[in-house]
Amino acid sequence: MGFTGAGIATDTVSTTQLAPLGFELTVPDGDNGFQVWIYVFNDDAASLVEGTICARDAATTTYDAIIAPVDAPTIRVMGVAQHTIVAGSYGFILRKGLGEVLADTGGIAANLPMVVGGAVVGRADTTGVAATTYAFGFATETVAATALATCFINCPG
Amino acid sequence: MPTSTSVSATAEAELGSTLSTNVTDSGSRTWIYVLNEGSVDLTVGDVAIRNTTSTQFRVVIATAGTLIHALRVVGVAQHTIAAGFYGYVLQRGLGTIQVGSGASVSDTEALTTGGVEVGSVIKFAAGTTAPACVFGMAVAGISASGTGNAFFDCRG
Repeated sequence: MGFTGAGIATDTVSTTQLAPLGFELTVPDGDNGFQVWIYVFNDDAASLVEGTICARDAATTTYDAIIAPVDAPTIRVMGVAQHTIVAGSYGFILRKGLGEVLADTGGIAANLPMVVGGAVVGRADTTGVAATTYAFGFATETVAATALATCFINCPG
Repeated sequence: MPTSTSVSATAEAELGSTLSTNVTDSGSRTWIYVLNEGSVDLTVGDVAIRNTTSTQFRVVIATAGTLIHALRVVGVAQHTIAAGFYGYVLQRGLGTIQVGSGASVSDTEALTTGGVEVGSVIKFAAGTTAPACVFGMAVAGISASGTGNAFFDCRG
C-alpha cells in the first residue's frame, strides 16, 4: 500500500482536504508496473464507487471530479475510482496503471481500447471502438454488462 | 537556469527538457523547452507543433485550418517566444488557448488543431474529426477569435 510522507494512503477518504487537489501519488504494483493515483474532490451528488470513470466537473479549473457523463471525451477523464469516495469527500482515484473499470450495458471485450460509454454514466465501452480512437484504457479481460473488468488505465485529464 | 517564462536568443537548457510548476488544487503544470524554428512568433495561446523532419524539440506554430495528430503537438505558448528564440511552452496542465475565428467553444468541449488562424484551435467534431487529434479541453466557454482557459495534455 502506497502512502504519502504525511501518511495519506491511496484508499484514504475524508471530508476535509488532506492534500492539494491534483496531487499525484505513485506506488509500485508488483509486475504490473506502477500505479499513479490523483487526489480529487467528489463534486458529484452520488458516490464514486469502484470502477466508476471520473471526469472533470463543468467549468472547473481544479481537480473536482464527477461521474463521467455519457459519451464524455477522453481528454475529460481524470481517473477511475478503485474504492468508494462518497459525495463531498476527498480521496485518490487511479490515473494510470492496472485497475478495475465498470462496463457499460454492452459489456467490455478483452484486448480492445475503451472510451466512456453512451448508456450509463461512469461506465466504459469497447463496442465499436476503433484502434485510432482516443481511448483512456485497454481491457485485459472480457466481462458482461455492469461488471468490473481489469484494465490498463491511462487517463489524460 | 531558465524559468517557465524565460525567453532567449541562445539555448539556456536542453531542448525537450521539462519543468514542473504547480497551481494550487489545479495540479502540476509541465513545461517543455523548445526552439521556435518558424518565421512566425508564438504568442499566448498558440499551439506549437514539431517542425517537419525534426528529431529535436524544434517547433513551429500550428498550421491554419489543418488537423494535426496529437502526437505532433508539443505544447501551447503561454507568453511570446519570437521566431528564432528559445523558451518553454506548456505541455500539460491548465493554461490559455486561442480559439479560431470560425466558431466559439463551450465548456468541457474537446479541442483539436485546425482553427482558421495559425496556432488556433477548433472544437472536436465527432464523426468528422479524427479523435487522435484531440489534445485539450475547454474549461470555460471561449468566444470565436478569443482566448480562454483550457486543460492540455500534449503528447508530442
